[in-house]
Amino acid sequence: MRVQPASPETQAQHLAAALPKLILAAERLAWAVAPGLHGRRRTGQGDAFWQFREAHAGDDARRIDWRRSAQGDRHYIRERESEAQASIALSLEDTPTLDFSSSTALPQKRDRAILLLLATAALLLRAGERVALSGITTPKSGPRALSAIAHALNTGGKAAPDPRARHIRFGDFLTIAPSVSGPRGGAVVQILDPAECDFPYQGRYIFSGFSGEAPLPAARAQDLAAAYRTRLTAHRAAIAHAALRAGQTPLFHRTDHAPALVLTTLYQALSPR
Amino acid sequence: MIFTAPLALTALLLLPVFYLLLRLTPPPPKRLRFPPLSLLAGLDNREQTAAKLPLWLALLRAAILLCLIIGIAGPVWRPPPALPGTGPVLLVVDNGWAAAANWPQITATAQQIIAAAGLQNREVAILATARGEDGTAPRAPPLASAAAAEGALATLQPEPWPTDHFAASKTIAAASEPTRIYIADGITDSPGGPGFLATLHPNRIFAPGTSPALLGPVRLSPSGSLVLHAMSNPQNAQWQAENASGASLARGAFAPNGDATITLPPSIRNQIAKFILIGPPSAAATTLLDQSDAAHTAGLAGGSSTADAPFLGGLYYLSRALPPGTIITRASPGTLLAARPGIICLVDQPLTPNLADAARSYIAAGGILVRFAGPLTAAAPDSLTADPLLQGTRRLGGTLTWSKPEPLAPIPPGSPLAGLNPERTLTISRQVLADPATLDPATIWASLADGTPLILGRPAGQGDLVNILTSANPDWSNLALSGLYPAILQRLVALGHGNAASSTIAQPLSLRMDAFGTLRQATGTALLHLSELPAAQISPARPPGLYGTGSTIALNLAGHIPPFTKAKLPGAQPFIGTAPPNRLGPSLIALALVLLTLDLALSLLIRGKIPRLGFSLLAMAILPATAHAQPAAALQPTLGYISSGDSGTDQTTAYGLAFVTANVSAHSSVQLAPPALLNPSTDDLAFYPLIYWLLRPATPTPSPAACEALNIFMSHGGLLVIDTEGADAGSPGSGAGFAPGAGAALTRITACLDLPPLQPLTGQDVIAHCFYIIPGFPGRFTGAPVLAAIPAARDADGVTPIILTQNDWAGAWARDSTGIPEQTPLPGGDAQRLVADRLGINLVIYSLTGDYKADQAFAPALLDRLGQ
Repeated sequence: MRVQPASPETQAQHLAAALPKLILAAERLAWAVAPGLHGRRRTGQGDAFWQFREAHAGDDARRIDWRRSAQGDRHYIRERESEAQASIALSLEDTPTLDFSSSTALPQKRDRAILLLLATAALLLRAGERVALSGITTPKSGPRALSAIAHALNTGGKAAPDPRARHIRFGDFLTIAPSVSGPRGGAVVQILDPAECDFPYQGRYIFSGFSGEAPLPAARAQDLAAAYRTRLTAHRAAIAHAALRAGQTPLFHRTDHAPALVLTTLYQALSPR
Repeated sequence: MIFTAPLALTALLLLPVFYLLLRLTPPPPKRLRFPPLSLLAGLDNREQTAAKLPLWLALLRAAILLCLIIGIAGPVWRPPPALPGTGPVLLVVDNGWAAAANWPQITATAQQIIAAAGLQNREVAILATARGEDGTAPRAPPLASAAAAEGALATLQPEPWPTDHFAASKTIAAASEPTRIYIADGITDSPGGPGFLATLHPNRIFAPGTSPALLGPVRLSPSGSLVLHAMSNPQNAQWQAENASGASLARGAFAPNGDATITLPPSIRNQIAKFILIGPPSAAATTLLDQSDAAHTAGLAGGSSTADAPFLGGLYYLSRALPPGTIITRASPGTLLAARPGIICLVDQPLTPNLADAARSYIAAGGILVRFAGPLTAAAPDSLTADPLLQGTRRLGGTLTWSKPEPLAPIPPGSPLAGLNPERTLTISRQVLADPATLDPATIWASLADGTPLILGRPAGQGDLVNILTSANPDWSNLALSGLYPAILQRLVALGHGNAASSTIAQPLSLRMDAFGTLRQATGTALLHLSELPAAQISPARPPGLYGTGSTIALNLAGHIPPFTKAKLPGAQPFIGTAPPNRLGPSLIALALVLLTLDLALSLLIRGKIPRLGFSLLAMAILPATAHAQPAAALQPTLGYISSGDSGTDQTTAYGLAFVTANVSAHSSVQLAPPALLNPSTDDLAFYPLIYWLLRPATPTPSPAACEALNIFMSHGGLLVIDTEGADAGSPGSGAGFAPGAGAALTRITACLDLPPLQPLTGQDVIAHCFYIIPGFPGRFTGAPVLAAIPAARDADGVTPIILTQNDWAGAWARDSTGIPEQTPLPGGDAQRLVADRLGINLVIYSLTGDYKADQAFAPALLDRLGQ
């Protein structure tokens, strides 16, 4: 039962056909996560009024709100809500190994990754963030940005990366290590299939890779399980360590777990404390 | 336990090899694309030796093969008979005539019993209850080992006579064997029966479930046919007539009363040597025929012109007195002598010297010539007489004589007529006299009470010349009215077959019939006199068969054996061979198949293909649900039509076909669905028996796909009807001028169709009479030729694939939604429409049934020929 990996064009077509549904699912997922969590309630550079505060020494005199200050004998400064100029860049670390699901009941890792990516985008957009697909789109905001991102995910594109953007990277990171560059405060979301985590295989197997590696025969697959799990744990720990060191939040998701769980964690990780 | 195909068991030798091969061949590994392959690389993977097939799976497959091989070898399990008691066994076997039909089962049962006794080292004695061929009573048998008893059983044969249970009882009473087993023939026919059973006191009885078949004698029906009677089991039984060499001549069934009336041509009938009941061969199911059963041929000729007159002529009486079944020819003496029937009766017939010579040669060749006296021959007796005759007649009784009409004396014993008893009322009043001077006493076959010879007979060559010295009609005597008359004629007719001596001496047994109904050369000295036949009882001294050198007398079982009834045998078991054996083969093969299915499932499980299998099973379950998505035409026959390109015309066509649909459904058992508009390039035409296409000059030319679909439709049994709304001016028919350009449209549109050679339909064609007989093929118009494929170009059912017409049939059929005809047929009006409507039904029936009704054209001729 060898599954031929679909060509990128076919994948794109499939993705395009599934886009509205995917966007809908992502939004539904975002709504499920959002209640109770509110966006950037802090002072910053924005257009909207946030609060008045007393002027301290060193404040620019031009920032004093004279109309408010005239009501009393203190000087007040009119603060505006913070508006993060630095956008958030989402990226899907696409590898052929994402085309895998151990069971027909489970989604492929790629599908889950895209769903998580879009749901994150939806959440961030709703919170007023500017969201970009890293290297593909410029940062966008507003209600229509989500579908633009989804389409760009499908069609691709080229845009200069924003060096100040925090990165959220989705992928399985099995064949390539995640890039942890960029400003601190990003996240690395590793998505794995439960079979990849648990290695439930027993008996005689011939394992083959996704990019032309030599097949690996195993007379008794169950004999490999323990060693494999140890290696996987080490692999995951290495990724998490690298991410933490770079100030990124390492997150882990199994496709048999509910996506809202990791999304909530991700969202909280993005929110400043 | 036996095997019906034991050679298949040799395949068991391959089983260990197969097992080894299985063990060496591991199940193929599962293949899996695994993303974290790099994590697996280099892991300690020591066990790289090829995995062996799991032991349990190898054993399972070996078991499958074992089941198959043994199943194919056809094991049959017959439980051996448990032998009751201890000590030596007395095996009493009925081997009378009734055992023959079941003899294979009887011997099989006996073999099983002997084998069982052999297993227990018990001695066996076999006592056969029928007398031997030499008449010896059933003897006290010596005890023997099982092997010796087996040999004795092999020589045991059924006998064609009844068992002698009385004699057997005496033997048994003297026997000392403690265990007694009785294999019965299932009938009671002797008074010794119940006593026999009491004496025998068998530990076990084996008996057949049915009474033996018994075929009765053959008699002649008044019409001359043979009537065969089955005395038992006439239902389902079939008789078969065979000739002397055993070839089957005829066969048939019995009427419920057990009779079978057999009418056959004389040439066939005279070849019949025996009748048998089809079934197991036995003497009881065989009826031998003797010469008395053969059909006789008689020639009659009379000298006087009134010889044939009812109640007056001698031939009138003679033809009625001849035995039933005699084939009678009436012709001139010359013709008869040339035809040489078995017997020629000449009534008062003077013979010319030429004819007399011909008659002598006829007699010498074996013919029987019977000459009756009469006024013509009495005046001038010729030389062809058994004894010289005196001229004139002697009158007895009457006004001028003292004497009274004289009765007959008893027939002398040496006469061929011996055994016949003249009635007292039989008197002769006038006769011709033999010349006493030259009378040979040996020629006197019958005489009057006063000693005057009345019937003279003289053998000459192989035949006989018989003179009956009185008339063949009641003028001179009442012989012709007496019961003796047919009896005499029967004897005389029988003489015609050369068995002249049969009645006089006892006939030796020539062919002996054994218990299986087979005729064998006789070795004994059994004799049978014809007069003894009615009372003869079959016995070793008088075995059944044919007595006399010329198959003169047939002694059959029926009527010559004691009456029998089904025996009451308490606790009788069926013969061992007849109990249905347990055939284990099918069960084993079924078990192998079940195991094979299990193996398949397990193999799939091992290879991890079960989920996909489940998926395909699911797909199979879903498939029937999607199979309903067929057009309605697949479920109910539907007429189709193709658009003419004009909506008004199409509406007319739709109305017309709707009317035909309703009409066909109302008048025949065909129930059509409403007609369907078809697009041949997209719709599947396969569901439509008939497609109607009305062409207009503006009808678009069909696309290549449509043409191909229509060609396939025509070549696969469909009927395409192409019509126009009339024809060009100048064409034949009343539609001429109504549709200018129709011809061109027809040419243009049919250009891409594979049209066969066409010819005009005639009234002889099946379309003209397959439902209604219609005088023509009119529609809205009439007279234009209706073209169909020539017969050679039609399909196997004789259906033309295409009909071309220009009569606008749909126009005549069309009724609008209120049921009122849309258009008026020209020129015939409603009468023409009636024919057109019937034509519509014929068309549908023709398209559905093909040439089924073609033979109706010949029905009158066939009925005429059958004489109905």
